[in-house]
Amino acid sequence: EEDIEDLSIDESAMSLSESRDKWKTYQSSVADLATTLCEQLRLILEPTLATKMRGDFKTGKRLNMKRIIPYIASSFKKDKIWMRRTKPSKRQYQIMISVDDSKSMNESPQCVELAFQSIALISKALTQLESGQLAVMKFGQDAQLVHPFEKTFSDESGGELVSKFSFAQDQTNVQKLVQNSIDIFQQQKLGGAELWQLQIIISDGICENHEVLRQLVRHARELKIMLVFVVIDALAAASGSSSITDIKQAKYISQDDGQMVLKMEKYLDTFPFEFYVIVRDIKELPSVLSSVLRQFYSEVAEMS
Amino acid sequence: MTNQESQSVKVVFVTRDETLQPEAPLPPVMVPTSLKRLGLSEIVNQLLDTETPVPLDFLIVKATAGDGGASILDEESASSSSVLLRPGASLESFLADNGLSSEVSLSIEYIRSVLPPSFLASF
Ligand SMILES: [Mg+2]
Repeated sequence: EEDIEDLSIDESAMSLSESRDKWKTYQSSVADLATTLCEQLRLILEPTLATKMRGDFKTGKRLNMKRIIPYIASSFKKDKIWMRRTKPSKRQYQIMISVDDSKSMNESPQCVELAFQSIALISKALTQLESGQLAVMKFGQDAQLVHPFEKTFSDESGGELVSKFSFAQDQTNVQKLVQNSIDIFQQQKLGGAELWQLQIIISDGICENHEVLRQLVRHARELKIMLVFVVIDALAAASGSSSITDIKQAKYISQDDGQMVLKMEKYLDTFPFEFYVIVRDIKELPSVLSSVLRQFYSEVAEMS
Repeated sequence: MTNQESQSVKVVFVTRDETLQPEAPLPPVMVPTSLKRLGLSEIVNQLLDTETPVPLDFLIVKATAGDGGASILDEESASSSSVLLRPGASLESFLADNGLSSEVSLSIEYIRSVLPPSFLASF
């Protein structure tokens, strides 16, 4: 159904042939980086080769001591008391790249370029990995799927999705994005298999309602959906003179006596995403992204 | 849940007044769009760390997409495209009047207020 909606003509969007050319340029500019990222992702996402003794089998190499008492208590009926060496099954994962289509992204051409390069880089690395599914979403006022998990991501898909961005939306509703993505991820989970779900948000990082967002991020985490926010540091990329790390937020805090007092804090101090990376140059993306993913998955491993 | 934060817009404050010049360029600030002249004045005074608050007026430079607003104090482009924030008007109403969304970043020039303080207090 999404496809039908996308046929509407958007004046600010590029023609399809133009976007295909652009996509080719982005792809070739990140080819080497994609190989690096792919290797790093392989280490993080694929299960280790080391096998483990596990399970409940009727025959095997070593007794599973936890099964002995139930075995006796059941008059030797519950006889799956053996463990074997088993190879871990290949992990299934789904990655959704969500890209900010709001007007603020258009403030510098470098920002848009970095966003597309990031999609090209991540999608290329994932297709090289060959064992996961990829979806792409755009968001602004609304959040809209521009490439679903069910479809294989090809060069053609890349060209098509470039044409679907206008960077002209009048809002940056990250809350809606996260809510919609959680819904989509949850639908995908119905299969039941162990599924690793990861959302990579690519944006200039300027969004509202940090407090509400923080709760949504926590909710996603409980559902084992990982959210990584790639902040494209548009200011730094454009002028080099200032950066998102310099931006302040003016806030009014109510005192005990009811008076509102102005407080200036760093914008990033209340940034609701626990896992975020700041990127000023596409060359930085593979290493910052893989280090934050490694950190997340080691925490997930401890949780389960 | 804490109270819903109000909408903000990114603002870069600049001045040509030597006596109000900051030591280093002021950082961009996310400013609640509900603020009016007094609110902006408080922010700039806090950024400048003034001993006694200086009453200020604000000229908003009309930003265009693709123009980061960095060079707004170039002599040619300065006064022609900037608008005084009317007394009583909020940034929100400025944006609405000019058909802008809070996605734009605004360059705002601050100047010493020309109105007497007692008069200003009424806004
Ligand atoms: Mg935005």
